[in-house]
Amino acid sequence: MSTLELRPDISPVPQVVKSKRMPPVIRGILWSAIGFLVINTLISYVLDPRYGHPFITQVSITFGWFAAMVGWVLGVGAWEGAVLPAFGHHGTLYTAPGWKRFFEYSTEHKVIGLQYIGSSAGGFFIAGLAAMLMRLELMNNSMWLFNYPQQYLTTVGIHGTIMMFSVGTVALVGGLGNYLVPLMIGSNTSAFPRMSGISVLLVPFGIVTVALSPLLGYWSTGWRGYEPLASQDPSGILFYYLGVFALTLSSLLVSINLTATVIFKRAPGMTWGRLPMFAWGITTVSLLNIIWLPEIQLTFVMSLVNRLVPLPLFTATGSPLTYMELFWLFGHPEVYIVVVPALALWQEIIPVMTRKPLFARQWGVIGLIFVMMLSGFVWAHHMFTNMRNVEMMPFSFFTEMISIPTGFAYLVALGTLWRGRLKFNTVSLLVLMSMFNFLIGGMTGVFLADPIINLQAHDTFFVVGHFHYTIIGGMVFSWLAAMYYWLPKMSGRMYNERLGKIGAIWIFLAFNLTFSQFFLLGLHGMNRWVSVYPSYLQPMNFETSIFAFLLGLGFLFHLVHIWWAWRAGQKAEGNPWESKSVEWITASPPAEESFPVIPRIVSSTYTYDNDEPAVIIPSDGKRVATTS
Amino acid sequence: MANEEPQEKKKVEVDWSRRQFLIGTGALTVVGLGAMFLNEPVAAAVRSVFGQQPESGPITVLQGDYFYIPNYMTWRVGDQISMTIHNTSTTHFHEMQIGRGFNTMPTALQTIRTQFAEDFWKGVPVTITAAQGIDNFVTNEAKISSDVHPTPWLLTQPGNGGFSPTMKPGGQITLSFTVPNKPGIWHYACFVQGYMHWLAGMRGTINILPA
Amino acid sequence: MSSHVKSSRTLNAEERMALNTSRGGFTILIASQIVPFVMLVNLRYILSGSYVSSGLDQATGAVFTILFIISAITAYAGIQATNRSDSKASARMSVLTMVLGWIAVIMMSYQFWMHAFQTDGRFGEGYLVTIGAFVIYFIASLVGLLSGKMRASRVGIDDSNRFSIGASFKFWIFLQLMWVVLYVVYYFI
Repeated sequence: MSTLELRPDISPVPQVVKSKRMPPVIRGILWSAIGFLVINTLISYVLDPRYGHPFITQVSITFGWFAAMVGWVLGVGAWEGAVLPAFGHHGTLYTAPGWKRFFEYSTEHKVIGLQYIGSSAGGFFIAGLAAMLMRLELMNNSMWLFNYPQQYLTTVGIHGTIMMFSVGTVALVGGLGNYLVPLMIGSNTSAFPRMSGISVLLVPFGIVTVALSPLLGYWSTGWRGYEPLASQDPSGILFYYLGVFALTLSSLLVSINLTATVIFKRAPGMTWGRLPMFAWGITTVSLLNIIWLPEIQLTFVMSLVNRLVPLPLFTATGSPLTYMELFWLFGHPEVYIVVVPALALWQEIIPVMTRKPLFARQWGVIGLIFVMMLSGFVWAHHMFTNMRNVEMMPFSFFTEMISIPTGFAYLVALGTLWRGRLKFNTVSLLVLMSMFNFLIGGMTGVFLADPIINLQAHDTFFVVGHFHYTIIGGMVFSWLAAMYYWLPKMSGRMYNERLGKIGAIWIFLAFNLTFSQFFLLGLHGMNRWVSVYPSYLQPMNFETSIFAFLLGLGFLFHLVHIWWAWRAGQKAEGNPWESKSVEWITASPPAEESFPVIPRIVSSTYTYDNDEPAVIIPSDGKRVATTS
Repeated sequence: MANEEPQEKKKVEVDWSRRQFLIGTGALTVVGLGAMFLNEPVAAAVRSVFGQQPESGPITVLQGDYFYIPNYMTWRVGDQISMTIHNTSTTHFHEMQIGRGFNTMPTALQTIRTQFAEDFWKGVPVTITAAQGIDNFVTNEAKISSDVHPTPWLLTQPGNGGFSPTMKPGGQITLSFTVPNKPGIWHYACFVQGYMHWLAGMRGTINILPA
Repeated sequence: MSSHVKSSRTLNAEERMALNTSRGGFTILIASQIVPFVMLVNLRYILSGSYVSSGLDQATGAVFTILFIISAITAYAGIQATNRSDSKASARMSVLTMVLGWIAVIMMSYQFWMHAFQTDGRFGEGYLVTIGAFVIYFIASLVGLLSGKMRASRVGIDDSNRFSIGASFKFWIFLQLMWVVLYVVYYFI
């Protein structure tokens, strides 16, 4: 045995066993239920009984939840796949055929990537449904759908939390990153596949936790968990902390894995100078994650303890501000965690579609890195209403500065488009739309960086419009573009161009008609976090809601279209976009072992001005071992 | 690794059942949605099937942020009850009013419910047998006697709203009384902090059976 | 904390790369886990400045801190044994490390239970959060040591698991270093 540790290593299975086993997901749920019941009962009846012997107390459900998480992860397959080997036992991990691979523990980065994408899409539609409920409530200026304001606020919180922590942070990094980065750098595996297999299981668990938070009581803080409000909220906030803990842990593990993958698993010739832009984007984002996710995790653990013990951590004079600082120290880098991979995706897709070399590649990389570095200096612009004037200026300055490296990303994209012959298809359409939307989002961001406007527009729908433009407009549109672009790679099938374009135009119109009105609503005085508002805003809210529903339907349309194309679309050619990138030399969809022979990269993969291949498969190439 | 001969690490496919998977996850989704949106109808259905024994003697009602345990009780007219109300919150005051219908007050945003219109305790003899950590106790039209020294928190004069003992965090009070002849469905609730506790779900129901 | 893995034979290029990958990943993990400890140090000063409660007993703290330091030394011996592929010594050292760690944590909990300061005060609450966070890391680290120990004694140490068994010791040493910092910060300055 010369397999090194933390390498992909599915333990050898010599004998053939022919039997059925329990579906791993069901076993995971069962183990999770057992874990919860045992620990919860132990705490609430034996270790920490409360007056009146309630079965579920805040303390018991917290520890019970951890047991449930461990039970779920182990039950789905980490028990055989990771834990038994780690303790020197022999774990026999079976792999089911076909689609069933996606519903069990896997160490294959492509399966994991699609599990991430699937989980994120699930989160997107659950949180999207919450958004539809919010818009439905806001169609009228009184409480007509929900009975209590807390129900509305909890819906807002679930929407924001799931969207940020399981879609924004996860879809492009955990999802496309896990699927594409090893392929793009010519590696058969990611660096730590077992860990990766565990980390993906935390996403559905976290989403379900947050979605079920109303079981413990409504909570009114939204995705920011502001103290001391959170410590006075009903107990639903517990599931916010715990669910976010699972989701951020997942993203942290992804980032460690992908950073190590990019640094150590590159194929021969894949120098840093030739590293694809998307891999650069994922690396920079991962560095942000590695710094800021532990920060927010400890902040939330502190808030949790603050509530359970209880402690007065964030209630003394000045302490609520401490919480806000701690939250936004993470919170603002978070939006770049969401958006930087999207910027990288533009730069990945546009050269292929224009058949031109990537313009000013170095500046693109510099832009991504400087966005990453500056993002740690801007957090306080979320707190202008709580600051002295002199303190605002540096933050205002850095916030406006950040538009410069972001501008690099635009210039690289525009320079590549310049005089190129753009293939006008769904993918490039979505990328252009994303660029347009993010431009609006970014420019309104410059306004908001200005203290004078910020103090006026603070906590209004202007801000809501701004960040939805950056996140839906920037990230979700790019995610869709990427799904269409790599659909032939992932499924071996092609989408329908006409339906794709109709869908793209549909969501573009619906999106802009919805969120551009958010700006106007905000300027007219519509506040965030309210379900009841002055009646003069009602007509505009009513029509905004109509467009919001159309937007929701548009995303459903894309979901159905991609689903259909995946199952029954036209068979795609091996490399339909004639890309020079490494991932396209594999089979479509790639076999479990993507590269039977490790390729050699001989030039930048964006050299569309010549016909030389950027990647060659060495004829004397070493065949790599199948499972290591 | 590479220098090892490719061992026969055959992929063994030990399959699992699609049907079990779909039925299992589907059933759990239904349970989850039911727990989220239908817990009250489900609780009512369970109650109507299995019934609930009327409570008497010493009973305890726990107050939390923002709920009661239990939030459903069955009493029977004529039973002797010694009810301990205990505020388990570490941060908030809580009260317990029992009544029917609501007094309302229009505000700029919406009409809010200020307290019960009909006070269950009207004319009922009640004895305070134990008390600690009480902020105030409005007796309204109940006939109060007390085993403990009730001042200064006992407010017997009219005009302070409905019968409501308000406990400080950690406080508790024990009320002894005979269930009066007022059968039917009554509600209990906490209206403190601008009625936000009621809004946040601090409510319960008492089903009083005829003797 | 980097130690040179001595192997019975020289590693080939691919194995060296895999080893570097493991090392790199481990380094990133440590880097990310420094962040919470930096926050805990900050928290201490944000909450209570340089105030030290007179209810805190520096001597007891010193005793279990020294125990932690000794456990870090035994963990270092464990790394050495692991690098020599001496499974028995490695397993022995993990047991010793775990026992020392347990004694120290029990003393820590005793002191915490018998504290003479308010846990809802500005000093006490920070102290509680810090101890709690440390104990959570401690438990995670124990699980790591246990898995390394069981692997060492069940399947022996070879090229495939040397790094990860060593890593469980290294994480332990990292944690004890962090504790020494927290001890100085909470008990003195």
